[in-house]
This record gives sequence, structure tokens and C-alpha cells, in this order.
Amino acid sequence: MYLSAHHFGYAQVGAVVARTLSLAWKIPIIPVNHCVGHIEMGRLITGADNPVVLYVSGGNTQVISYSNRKYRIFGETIDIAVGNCLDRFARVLNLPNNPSPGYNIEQLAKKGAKLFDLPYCVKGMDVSLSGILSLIEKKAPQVIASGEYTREDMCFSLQETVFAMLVEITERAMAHTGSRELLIVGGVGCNMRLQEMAKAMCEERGAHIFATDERFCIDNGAMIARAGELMLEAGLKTDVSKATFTQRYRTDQVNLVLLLLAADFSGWLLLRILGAEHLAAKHGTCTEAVHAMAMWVAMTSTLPIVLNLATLVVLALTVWQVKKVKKLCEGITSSTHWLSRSSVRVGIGSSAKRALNEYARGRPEFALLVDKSE
Amino acid sequence: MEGSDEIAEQGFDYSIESSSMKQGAEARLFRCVYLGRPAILKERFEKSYRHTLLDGKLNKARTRSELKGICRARELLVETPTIFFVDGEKNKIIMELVEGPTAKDWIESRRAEDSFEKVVHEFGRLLGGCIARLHSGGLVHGDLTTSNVLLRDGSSDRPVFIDFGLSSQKNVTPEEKGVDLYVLERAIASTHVDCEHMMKGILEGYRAADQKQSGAVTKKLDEIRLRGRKRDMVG
Repeated sequence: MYLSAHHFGYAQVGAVVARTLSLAWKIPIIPVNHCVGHIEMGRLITGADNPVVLYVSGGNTQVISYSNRKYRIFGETIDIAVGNCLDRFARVLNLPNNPSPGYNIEQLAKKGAKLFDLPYCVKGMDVSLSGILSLIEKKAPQVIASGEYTREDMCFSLQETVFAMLVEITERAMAHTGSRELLIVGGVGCNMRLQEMAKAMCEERGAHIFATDERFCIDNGAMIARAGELMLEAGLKTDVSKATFTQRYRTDQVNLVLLLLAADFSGWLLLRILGAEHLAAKHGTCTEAVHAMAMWVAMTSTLPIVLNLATLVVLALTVWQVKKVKKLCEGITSSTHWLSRSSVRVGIGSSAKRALNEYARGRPEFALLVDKSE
Repeated sequence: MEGSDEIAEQGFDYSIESSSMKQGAEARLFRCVYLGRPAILKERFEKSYRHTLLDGKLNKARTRSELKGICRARELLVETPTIFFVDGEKNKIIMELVEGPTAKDWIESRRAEDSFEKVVHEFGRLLGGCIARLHSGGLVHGDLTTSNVLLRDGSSDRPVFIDFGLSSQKNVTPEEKGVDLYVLERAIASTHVDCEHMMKGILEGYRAADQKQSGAVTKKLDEIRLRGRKRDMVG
């Protein structure tokens, strides 16, 4: 199982690896929608049965409900995602990225108290966030500089306004579908203020809220595995040639047989979740394959290292040799130099001079050099 | 008001049945009797999840636009519940109780019929006509869904529009009208399965009722459909 709809570059690598593994070990391949992964993970962890889902992250903002074999999007952002909005505002305030900009906004917002008037854009079941961001990006530096509002106040105001909009469209979807359960998933879902607001809304409606912490809210591999597992159980497999990925795979394009099954077997599934060894046995094909390939894996991983080490040794030896030769060369150079200098200082002896003159006289090209004094 | 000892003159009694509370998307609804007539009390109560300032502002604005929207719609001969009483302080509106199912329930109840497709198409045409009347009068509903249309006495030719809380008036652009239709289209797609012909009917009715504005609006609608995130781009 692998991810079929998410960040473009990574998904491409992932899809290639998944197809390779699938072909090499004859494992069924299952493309998993990222968002459905989030929802299924949330359902698994919280035990929600048929909730309205508020999926809020850096790339998505959707209110989803399951009906007639598909997750249907009731409301969503018509421009940017809420996580994107928060992150970009964090940049305006120069907040660090560690551990995440959204978390830092949340911490600052806890100390804020004064509400800055921001637009409130709910359009039917949809929200619009880009206008709010443009306004706060422009105004925040001004009002912070003038001391009218603090950084904390601005974070607080942004969160209060944007989350109120999200909770409102969620409430609309809950009223429309008559659902009594709400599940919050996605990275922004770990924001405690959002959870608190959603909880207050649910209490007013007599509904139950399911939320998880950052271990399950933030993107993870287990959620893809979980959705893939359900799809495998439902008998959904894909031909390798069709196992590609798309960034535009919408939540409401996924056909869900698995939910019907999941409902039937929900009790049985819980047992399965507890029995980890059962899961291990299920993925036996993969483990066995690893054992069979052990030698090749060892070879391919150790051989390059050995070769590299040998090269290093040869290199060191060469350097040592060159150093030795260099010392010798330097000795020769300096003694030659010394010889030539001393010969210039002392001057050439008279017999040698005569012999040279003799030699030069025999050759016209040296005529100019001949010592006329002799 | 509740359980008052004094006996009201006949025909002028009032009471609130607190047991019949129904929580809508943003307000609580109570069945009540107002001056001897069956009525609905709609209360935009304080939302505990929202900041008090923001909440107060929104509730006030929505109560206002609801009242204005209902008045305007009635001027444009589109049926809405009659307003009996308004409490501006507590954002309460007492209005006529419309007997009849919501369009949502009505559509689902007709599903089994053979002529379902035709019935829904016809109903769509009628709705489209009403929406066109609202739009040409410069009123945009803002939250058109099949839950926000009631059918008086269960007859499909008497639709009553409710919940004008998100409505807007004056200087309404084709853009806003387009969004209004788009919201409805999305609501139908997410609530009713296989009801594409209903939206077709709505657009037909819309065009038939007002040729002048429908050109610009449907053009905008096509534009709006292509917006948003991760739309399928064909070609």
C-alpha cells in the first residue's frame, strides 16, 4: 500500500518504490488516498462510527461526511487551507518553524486577549481564508508597531476568527446530516483551541467529539497502512500498470466498499487491532521475502563500503610516497642552487675560462661571448 | 411567558413548548403559540465556542439580514414564513409555523416512484423560477439547500424559503448570484444521490424566469465551478 494523492515529488518516488516492491515480491498494490488515510486512522484510534469529519491541515480544509459509499465533501475552503493561512501568518511575525509554525501561533495566542476585527467569510457550507490572510498580513505589522495590539493579540484574533468559521461550517454539516459525531483529523486538528471550540459546539448540540493528538493528527505512515489494510480486506487491488498517483485525487472520488464492511465487522476489527501478532502474520509474505533476499541485501550494502575503504588506503599510501619524493626533490634543488651561487661568487678558474674561450672561438654563434681581453 | 397563571383572552394565548427544541445549524427552534397561532421561536443563542465580541456581532448581523431578507422576498412574491415578533436584544424571532416537510425529506420520500426523475426535474424548474425572482430583485439567499426550503402542506408547488441569515441585498453582483446557485448545486450533490437532473431543472427554471440576468449568472457559475481546490482539469 502506498500513498496515491499527496505531495507531488515524494509521491512519485513512493509510487515507483511501491511498484518495484510489488513486482519483485508479488505483493498486492493498493493506492491510498491521503485524506481517507487520515479519516480511517482517526476512526480507528477514536472508535468513531459514522462521524462528520473536519479535516484541517496545511494543504486541506474540508468537512466530510460519509454517504452512499463515498466520503462526500460538504464544505471546504474555496481558496487556501487553514494550515497554510496560519503558517504564512507565522512568517509575518517571524515565528520559528520549530516544532511547527502553527504550534508557535497556538502558544502565543494563549496569551492574547484583545480581538482584532477580521472579516468572517462563511459562504454557505464553504469558507474563504485568503482575504483574511491578506488583511492580517497587511495590518498586523502596522497595529503591532503602533502598540495598539500585541503579537499575541493578533495570533489570538486569527485563531478565534478562523476556527469559529471552521466550527460553524462543521456545525452546519452536522445539522444537515443529523450526525451526532464529529471527528477532527489533520495537522491543525492538534490545535487545542480548535478542539476546545469544537467540543463546546458539540456539547451544545448533544453530540460527541473525537479528536486525537499530534501522533495521529500529523501525517504518518500508519494511516496509509490502515486505509490500505481496510481496502485490501474489501478486496480492492490495483493493477501495477494503473498504480500511479495524482495530486488532484479528491476525497469524494474514492469508492468505499470498505466502510460497509468496516461497519459489519467493527467488533471483529477491534480484536484485530489488539492482536498485533495477527497483523505480523498477515504481512508474512513481506517478511519472508526479506529473509530470502538477505544475502543480496548484505552484498549490495557491504560491497561498496569495502571498495571505498580500499580506495582510501591506496590514496593514503600515494600521499605518503609523494611526500617522501618531495623531500628528496627539495634537497636536490637547494644543493644545486647553493652550488651555482657559490660558483658565481668564487668565479670560474683560469684554465676553465681558457677552455671555454677555445670552445667558443670555434663557433660563430658564440663570437660575441669570447673574452677579447685574452 | 411560560406557564403563566393569568388566563389569556381567547385567541390571544401564548406559550413556549421547551420540549420541542430543535437545534438547527446556528439557532435553536422552539414550537410556540403566539397570540393563539402556532408559531416558531428562532433564537440565535450565544455560542460558547465563539469569542463573545465576534459572536455578538455575527448574531446581530444575521438576525438583521434574516428579517430584511424575509421582507424583501415577500415583496418579490416568494413565499417565506410571516414574522410575528422580533426581540432585537436577545436575537429572537417569532414567526409563523409552516406545516410541511423540508424539500430534502420530500425528495427522498418520492425516490421510490417511477417518475422520480421527472418529478424532481419539475420541482427543480419551480425552485429555479423562485430563485431567479429573488435574484432579479437584488436578494441573494446565501445558504440555499434543500433543507432550507419547506413545502407548505407537502405540496411541491408551494415552496417556502427559510433561513435568510446569510442573505445579502443591494448591489448584488452576478458573482454573488452565481455563488448562491453554486452553493445549492453543491448541497444537492452532497445530500441527494443521482439528482443531477434536479440541478438541470433549476437552471432551466432560472433561465426561463429571467432571460436578462441569467446569461451573466450562468456564465459566472461555470467560472465558479472551475475554482476551488483540486478540481479536475479536463483538457
